Parts: sequence; C-alpha cells; structure tokens
Amino acid sequence: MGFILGNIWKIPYKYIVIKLYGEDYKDLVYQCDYVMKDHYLAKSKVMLEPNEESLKNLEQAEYSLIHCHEYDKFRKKLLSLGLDEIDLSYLGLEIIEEKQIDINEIVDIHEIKQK
Amino acid sequence: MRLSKNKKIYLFIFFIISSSLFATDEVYKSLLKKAALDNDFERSVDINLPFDKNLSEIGKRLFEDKALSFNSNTSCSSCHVDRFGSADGLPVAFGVGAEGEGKERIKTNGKIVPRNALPLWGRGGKDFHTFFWDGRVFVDENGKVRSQIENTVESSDPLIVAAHLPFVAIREMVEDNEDVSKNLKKESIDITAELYQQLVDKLSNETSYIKELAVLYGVEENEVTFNHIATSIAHFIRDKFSIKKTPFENFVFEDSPLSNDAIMGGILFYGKAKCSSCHTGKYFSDLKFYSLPFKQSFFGMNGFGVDYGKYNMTENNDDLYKFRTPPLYNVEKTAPYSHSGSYNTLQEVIIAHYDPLRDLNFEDLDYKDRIELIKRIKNSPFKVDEIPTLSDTEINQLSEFLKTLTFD
Repeated sequence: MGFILGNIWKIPYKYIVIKLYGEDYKDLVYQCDYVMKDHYLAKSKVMLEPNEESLKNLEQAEYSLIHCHEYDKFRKKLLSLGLDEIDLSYLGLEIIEEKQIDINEIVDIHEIKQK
Repeated sequence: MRLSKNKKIYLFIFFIISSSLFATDEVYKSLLKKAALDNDFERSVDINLPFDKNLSEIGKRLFEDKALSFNSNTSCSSCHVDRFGSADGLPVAFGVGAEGEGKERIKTNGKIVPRNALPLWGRGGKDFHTFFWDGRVFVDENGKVRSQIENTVESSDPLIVAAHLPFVAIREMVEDNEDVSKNLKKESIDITAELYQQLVDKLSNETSYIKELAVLYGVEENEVTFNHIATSIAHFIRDKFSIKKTPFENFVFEDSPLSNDAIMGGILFYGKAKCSSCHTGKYFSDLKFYSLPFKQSFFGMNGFGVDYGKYNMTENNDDLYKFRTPPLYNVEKTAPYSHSGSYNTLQEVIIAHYDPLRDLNFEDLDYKDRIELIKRIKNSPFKVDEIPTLSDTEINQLSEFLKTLTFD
C-alpha cells in the first residue's frame, strides 16, 4: 500500500512539470536539431567551396551550437525535477512528429474536396 | 493549510531548480563577447576621429540654418532631428516646402524625397567609406573619394564630399519649380559648381558666415568656397554624431550586465540568425550593397513604386534593387526602417529579412507591385541554406540585443 501511494503522487506531479516546461523542452529539441543540421550544411559547404563566405557561415553555425548546450542543460534540469528518459523521449517524439497527418485526416480532406 | 518543514524544503528546492532553468550562465556571456570581437567590434573611443572645435561650432550653426537652402526654408536639421535619433521619424523624407519636425512635415505640403532619411551616427568615424543608401559617395580601392561631383569637389574625406550633396539635391533642399527646371535641371553635373557659388553669394549677402569662415580658414572673404562650408558641417557631424559608449560595449569590455534576452539575442545575431553576415564590423555594417525583399513605400526613386537603388548610380544591372547595409548604432531610435521606411518596428524589419511574405497583405498589391516584389526576392543575396528559421521569441531577443547599441 505504501509503495503504491509512494509512487502514485508522481503522476500528477509529472503532469504539472510537463505542463510547465514541456513546450519549452520541445522547442529546444527543435532548436538543437535545427542548428546541428545547419552546422552540417555549413561544414559541407566549406568542403565544397572553401572561401571567406562559407567560412563565415560555418563560424555562425558553430556559435549556434550553443542552442544544443541549452537543450542539454534543460534536459538535465527536467531529469532532476523528476521526469525520466521515457517522459523526455515522449516529448521529443511529439515535436518530431508534429506535422504528421493522421490517415483519417487525409481521407477527410479528400472527401471534402470531392463534395 | 500548514506545510510541514520537509514539504517547505522540497518546495524551496523545486523553486530554486525551476528558476535556475532560465538563468543565463557564463558560457553564453563568454560566447557573445568572443563572437563580437571575432566580428571586429571595437570600443567607441577607437572608432571616432578628431575634429576642430571651432569648425564644429560654426558647422552646428550652418547645419541648423535654413539660409543654406535656395528657398530658405530647409536646413540639415529639418530632417536630422535629435528626438528621432538624427533621422526624421518618417518613412521617407519631406524636403523643400515642409515645415516643423516629424509628422508635422507631412501636413505642410512639402516635397517628398522618396528615400528614408538616414541617421548620422558614426558618419565621421574611422573607415566609414560609403555614404547614402545607394553609395553615391564612396572611397574606391585606390583610396580616392568617388562621387557624382568629383570633378567639382575635391577632398580626401568622403564625409566632406557627402556633406556637399543635399544642398544641390532637387526636392531635398532645392525647390522643383519652373525656374529650376529651366535653368538648373541639366544633364551636365558641372551645373553643381554654379549652384555652390550661388549659395556662397547668397550667404555672403544674407549672413555673416562668409566673414567668419574667412577668419577661421585664414583666407580672404572672396576665397571662401562651399567646400569651407561643407568642411565645417563635416566637423560638426564628426563631433555631434560620434559613436559613444553603449550597454553592449560596457558588456564586452567592462563585464557590465545585460539582460538574458539581450545576451541570447546577441548570440542569435552572430550565430543562427546570421545577421553578422552583413551587419558586421565596427559599425555593424559591412557597408556593402544587397537587394532585400522589402516592401517599397511611396513612389520610389524610379517612379511607379520602384527604386533601383545602387543601379541608379552605376547603371550596372547587377546592382538593381541594391542598398547599402545600414549601420545599427542607435537603431532603436531611428524607426521607420528600410530605404523607403516600410517597417515601423525592429521586429517587423527583422522578420522582413527572411520571411518577407508574413506581413504582406496581397489585396493591397496590384500586379505591378507583385512582380516588383518577385524581382527583389529573386535578387536576394540569401542562398537557401542561409535563410534562418526564427521564432517570435527569438525575434524579440534580437530586438532586445539591438537596443543595447543605443546611446544618448
């Protein structure tokens, strides 16, 4: 009984933490992914066209990687606030798949057009 | 409800951790300082050039005196006003015929000059080599000052040459009337020498300036030329509009605090937002020319809502729609923004750089406007991998950073 009560409080607690910080975390997941892609593109460009402009672009992309530091820091803080890896993975998936359209929506859109 | 001692401690720890999530740590500050120095940011004292105090004093009076315009109703200070950050607070300038300051000038039937009045900060500083939106005065690769009036005006100081131009600009300080059309609007630029002599004669008859300038420059009264007048105004600009210490300079060199938003905005400026591709160096401008997909307000320098920008000076098709990167000191005070003042806030103009369709109302655009916009987008310098994706929070952070470049 004690074990059950000791764990059940985590559900509303986690809910509150996710409500408070979930959107910020999801935004940082996007930001870190974005700047890593940008950095990758900038590095490729330097390899292909090594000039002043592409080097400047790479330098800017390197500064941008600080957003991953911010993401990392935020992730650790959320872990210290009691969320676990599964909670964070779930939030990450939510933002990655944000633009996914449900097959039913596609059907709905198609049906509306036919009308 | 009374909380137990343990619960109070847990609650306290929870709030401490929560608040620390948003604190800006040292790594952000160090990164911003490094980025600024890597992009040639300098202390203000190292940017400004010396000036002559006596020439600055008479230059101030000349700057503010309407007697320097042919119709005696426009002075430099008509459009370069302190409370608008040395610009005029209007989308485009209202020249001859307009009275008062700011919005008052719109109501008084003044002639529209179809470009945004530029602020003057740093114009007399070190390495400031390209003047006006279209670069009509610049220093070439051999160090020679080039301009439309280079056969008339010789100076190694581009600011002095630039200070000559507004006085002979039709609509700006010369009335566009029948007499002017008949006698002064000629293809030959040699007419400018005649105009400058007429202005010197006018000042000699109406004021004591020529006598005072003769004493200051150690010449006879009949040897005073318009160059002496423009030089005095240049000394005033070098004095009054010098770059002063900003919160950002204090942050970089003296470790003074900045808000978290300003720090994050600065990191965006030099990083992800790629502003420093063009807004770099000691004036936050590379002083080069780019075509940006900005809205065009008013009729434009080429009429029908078109402004070809630098092309008007060079007649090189590669220069179509290109304008000089504006320096950013005191940018907070100099709204509205862009060459035709199409954007009222810093946020709007930042967005227009990379997301020009966001604030456009397509119902307001006819087919000519749309095609002109397509041309400007097509001519934009950004390659697809250089267009940043920025959230509204990041736009606000960039705006907060730009406000740290403000001084009195």
